[in-house]
Amino acid sequence: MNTLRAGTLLSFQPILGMRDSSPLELETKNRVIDSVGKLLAENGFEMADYPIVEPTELFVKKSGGDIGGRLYSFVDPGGNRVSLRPEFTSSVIRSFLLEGSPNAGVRRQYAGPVFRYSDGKYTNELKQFTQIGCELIGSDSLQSDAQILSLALQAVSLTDTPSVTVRMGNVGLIRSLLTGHGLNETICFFVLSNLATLRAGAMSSGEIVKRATDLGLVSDLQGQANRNQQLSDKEYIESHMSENLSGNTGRRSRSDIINRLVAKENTKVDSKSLSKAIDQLTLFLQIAEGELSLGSSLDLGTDFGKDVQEKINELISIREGVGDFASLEVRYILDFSTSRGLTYYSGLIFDISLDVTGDTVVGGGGRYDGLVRMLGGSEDVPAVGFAINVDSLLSSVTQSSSIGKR
Amino acid sequence: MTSEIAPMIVAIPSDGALYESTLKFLDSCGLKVSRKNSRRYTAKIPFMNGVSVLFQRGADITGKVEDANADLGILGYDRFLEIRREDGPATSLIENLGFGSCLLAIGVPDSWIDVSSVADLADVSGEFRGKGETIRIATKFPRLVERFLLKNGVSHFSLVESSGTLEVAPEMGFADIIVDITATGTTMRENHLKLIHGGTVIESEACLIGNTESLLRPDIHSIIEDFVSTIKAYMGSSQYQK
Repeated sequence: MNTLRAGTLLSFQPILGMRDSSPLELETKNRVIDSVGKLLAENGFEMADYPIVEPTELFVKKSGGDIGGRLYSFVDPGGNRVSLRPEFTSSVIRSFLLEGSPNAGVRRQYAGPVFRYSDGKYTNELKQFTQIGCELIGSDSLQSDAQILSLALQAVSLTDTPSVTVRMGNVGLIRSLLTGHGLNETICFFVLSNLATLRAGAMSSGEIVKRATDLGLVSDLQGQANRNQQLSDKEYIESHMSENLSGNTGRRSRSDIINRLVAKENTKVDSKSLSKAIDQLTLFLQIAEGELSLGSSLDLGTDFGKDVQEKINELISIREGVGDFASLEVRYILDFSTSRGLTYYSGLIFDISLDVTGDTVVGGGGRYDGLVRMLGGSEDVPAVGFAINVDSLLSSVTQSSSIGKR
Repeated sequence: MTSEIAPMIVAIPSDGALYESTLKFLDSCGLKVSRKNSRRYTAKIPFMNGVSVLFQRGADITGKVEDANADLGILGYDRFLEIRREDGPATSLIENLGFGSCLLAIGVPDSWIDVSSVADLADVSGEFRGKGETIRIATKFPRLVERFLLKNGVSHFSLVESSGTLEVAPEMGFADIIVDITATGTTMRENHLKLIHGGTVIESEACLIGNTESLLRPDIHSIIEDFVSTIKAYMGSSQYQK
């Protein structure tokens, strides 16, 4: 019997990056989930559940970023392209829209497995891990931002973690800085996705402008002048590019192509504006990033505009609103390159890590006021939330025996 | 296996562009392959005892190494990534052998003058969706292509898997765009297709792979070591040096 069992089981190992939980590990994990769930319930967050499998499109277009390339995506037996969920927020908002919920005051919490494929780059990461988190839909107040960050930290502290580092930024601030130079949403997204590279000095601003030019996002000044006078005119495109359009266009019509080209040309920016924007952004990062202690302030002077200064003040205000914790030492660092691998964030964004370098991230969150509209809502609805990676947190906590006993 | 088969087996391409270039590369390394005639699937390397060469289709080499029907293999790195099992026994020993370089790249009809980057393609996939259609993408590399597209925000598409000539697919109407191997883009251009910025799924060269269990087998360990070190020595002392 033993021989048979050993022979059978040895053939099947868990998939790399996925693992079994022993009864003790499961009990510990459930204690964390229960205690965080209780904390969130006390703050008005109702537990809800969502499908593990969702349409792939829900996550790719809307979550975007790094997550898109890490989806467990497949075509189901019915021919639909679906994915195992890599996070909950998109499902929560989809559900919010289907419920036709009122705009204000929806508080949801969730817990369950999420799936993110990882290759050699992320060898220590689990591909399936348990997330617990919450979403507050309908409030745009700084108090809500502070409450979400505070709850996230309280959730971490329930595992007896002694200290954490919060890296916080504001995606809206960077957008504000860039749109001040006339950059549109597409080019803002491009710069945001290259922010970490820029900040690390891995690419110069000139290289980023070149990359944007290669991607067709930028036109030179002469091109811009031509465009303003002529290219926006459909007739100009048809007459000057008819040779290119004479070939097989497949299932796309000539007017599909021309209309899109006109729209695309009208959203291009000139390389000089982009270059100036990136230079100013680099300067901003040099001045603004760094440790943020309680009671500190940051005066940017007049170089960056009132809106940027206001958003910095808001971040400081959020940090003040969170206050301090008796059992958890928290170090705050302003870091505007945090993206969490997702593109839907619009304001506050934060990562919580167990080390100062930010390598062991155990959770994070932020504000995503545009996601409701992105997923088909008729208008933007403010929303903010956080999620904790329970497995990552537990694997980092050595004294897990007392978890959740408080 | 017959007694003619030496204990250590190296699988190399029997077809495609990598057939000739692999033989030439091994020759340059001092590992000239002696094949009695072109119909035979096995050959020897006279200057290295204990090695048999197995000619296989490029698409089958990863599987042969994973199944331990071959101990080493030479093939395109793109093919290896497409077919290998992540936790399987085949591992890359040398990723870039310095020949067989090519791109796995997206080709779109050159009449799509509004499409110059992969970001445009994400937009166009939305245009198809708006019309109740799905953009169809012909490729021999569905696994690499799907992941690449999802990573780049193209979420609504269908893959047309084809082993034939892909370049004609848009002209023939069974796909809208293709993702295929190209060295210079010439064949694509001749078929009225163009490359787009950010549309390279992977840049690839020929690579050397090995079965991890074979690498530990006492009877062939030293032969494998000799084979690999001969290749490395050549690469280190030649134009192939990286």
